[in-house]
Amino acid sequence: MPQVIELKSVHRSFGKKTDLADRIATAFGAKSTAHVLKAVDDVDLTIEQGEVLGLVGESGCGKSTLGRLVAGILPHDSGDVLFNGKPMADKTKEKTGAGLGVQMIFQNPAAALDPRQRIVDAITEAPIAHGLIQRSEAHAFAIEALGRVGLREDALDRYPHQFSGGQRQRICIARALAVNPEVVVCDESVASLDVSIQAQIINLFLDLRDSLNLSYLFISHDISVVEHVSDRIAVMYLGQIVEIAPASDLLENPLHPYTQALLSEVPTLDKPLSEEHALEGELPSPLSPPSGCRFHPRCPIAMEECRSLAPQLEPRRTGHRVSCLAVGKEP
Amino acid sequence: MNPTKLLSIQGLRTEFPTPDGPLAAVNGVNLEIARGDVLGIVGESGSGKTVLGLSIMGLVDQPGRVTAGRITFDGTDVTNYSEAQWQGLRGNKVAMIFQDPTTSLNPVQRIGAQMIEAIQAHRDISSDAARQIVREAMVRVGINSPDERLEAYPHQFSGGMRQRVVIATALLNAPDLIIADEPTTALDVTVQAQILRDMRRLCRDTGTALIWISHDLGVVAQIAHRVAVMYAGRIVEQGATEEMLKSPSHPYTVGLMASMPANTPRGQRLASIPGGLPQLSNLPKGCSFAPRCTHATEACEILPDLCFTSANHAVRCVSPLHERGQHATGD
Repeated sequence: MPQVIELKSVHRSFGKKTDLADRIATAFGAKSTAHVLKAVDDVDLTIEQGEVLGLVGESGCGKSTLGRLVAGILPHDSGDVLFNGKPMADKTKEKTGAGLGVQMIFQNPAAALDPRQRIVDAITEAPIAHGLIQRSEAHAFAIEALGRVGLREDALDRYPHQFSGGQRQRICIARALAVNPEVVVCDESVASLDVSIQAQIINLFLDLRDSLNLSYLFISHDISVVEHVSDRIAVMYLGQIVEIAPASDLLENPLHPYTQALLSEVPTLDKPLSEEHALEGELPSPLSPPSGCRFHPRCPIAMEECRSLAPQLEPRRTGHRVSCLAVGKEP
Repeated sequence: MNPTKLLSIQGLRTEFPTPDGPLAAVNGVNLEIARGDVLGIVGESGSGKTVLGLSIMGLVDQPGRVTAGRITFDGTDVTNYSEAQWQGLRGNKVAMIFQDPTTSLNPVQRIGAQMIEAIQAHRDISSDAARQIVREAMVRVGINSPDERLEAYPHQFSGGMRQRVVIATALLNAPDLIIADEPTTALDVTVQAQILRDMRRLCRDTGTALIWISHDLGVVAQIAHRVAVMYAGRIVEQGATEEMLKSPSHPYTVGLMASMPANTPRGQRLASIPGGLPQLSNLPKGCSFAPRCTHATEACEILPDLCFTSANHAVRCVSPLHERGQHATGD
């Protein structure tokens, strides 16, 4: 399978402005502290054509930043983001024709739609601007686009507030698909929906993948959702990918202690939560990540060298890569 | 009459006037809770679960009001309590925990001062003695080195820690009943699991009764002894947690469980409930779920009562499903 998306040691940092206290401290001769948050720190990742890659992690781990880098709506600092082998267009600078191949669907469809724009305009604005369709074709085009996501023609002249949350998310999906993307980045796209509506939208994502041969980067904090839709799953911790494997392999044989803890804490109907915390404490501040392996302060099996030695993401089984010193290589 | 009965609700109806006529967010709810009992209330957005919680606390905002029914707390009818009487009860005998801890805490007051104030509002007690109670409450919810933390402001805490502070505050006056409305929804699974364990232990140790309101059946299954499922303002199914999850009988509960991704093999279409919630101001005549129900017959045009199908299980449906529904695990 050809790779539609390839990330090679991609970095993205955010600077924190020095505030008054810092300036005073520096003026009095204190060493100036670097306020740099490495949101995505040396990430390698590929997405194959027609594949759903799930991305999970706690809030603040950098999964949304990574999604934005893949979608090209946030420039990266270093490394390569390749789309079909070519560098991704920087959508923040180029205006026309830039990176239509990757589209993004966000968590809150109410915020993603212009409240004063009719649905027909929301859907046809981008294809008209990029010359994919003529203005005269817009009406028919919008009907077809809405039909793909299960909405009827009568939606065309209405405004976003006249729809429920689930319908609004369908409109966002129709709009993203209007420019014929090959890859769709879904950032918590079903998180704000009720369970029964969430199921409808997940089904829609699965159907569209089959009919349009789409690839997805599916970002969610909800592991059961990611588990359901993904072919492969990547687990992120403090800006780095700590484990990546085919979905069934990751869920049945998680190797990284963080993945193991994360999976055991998911509440399910059929097994009670253990009495003991699987994971103590919370995500450390990404402004000053721990030395060595970033997970070592919370890790139940941390060894002495984990404090100083940063592990690399290395293959342990077929297609299963883990970044942990304590997990042995299989012969 | 059960001597240990703490809270009893009969025929509770909470209405909001709208241009289309009164809208009953809570529509004839009966509930009973004994001391030490943990009741989970599950429903989708708009099902009335939050308004039910607010009604029990006397916190329904104008122009909404309780128009019918009776709330008896610890043998006293509190339905027509004045605001002053409610203030004596709230935060004292009954406490509420909301979804977003940020809005429950005063951003410009130190944590310790806020908590001491919560005690002194109800008890004539010295600040030193109050501080000691606060310290103990913080340790009980897993906040170590409480003395340091008491001097901090809410913004210096993470989301999970803030929610712990809110829970500790709810515990200060040793309430008989805590109502928690989606207390872990905004938190990561790892932190959610920690808080679920803490709450489970607290209820066991102190005998505090708990009403846990959530949209997530998986979370409720971890903590509740009994579960009530709400739909369009009414309880449609209620029972002992294990029994109900094993043999859900209302088509809505069955549909809800079937649409959870964890209950369906990976990549397969999820069973979703067609349609959406009915307009509360224009409910169908009989069963509110009938328009979305695949089992609906003419008999559903009459509103069924909540009928016991076994000692611990009641269903509001004329033809409840007795089989194990679609909650199959694995096969």
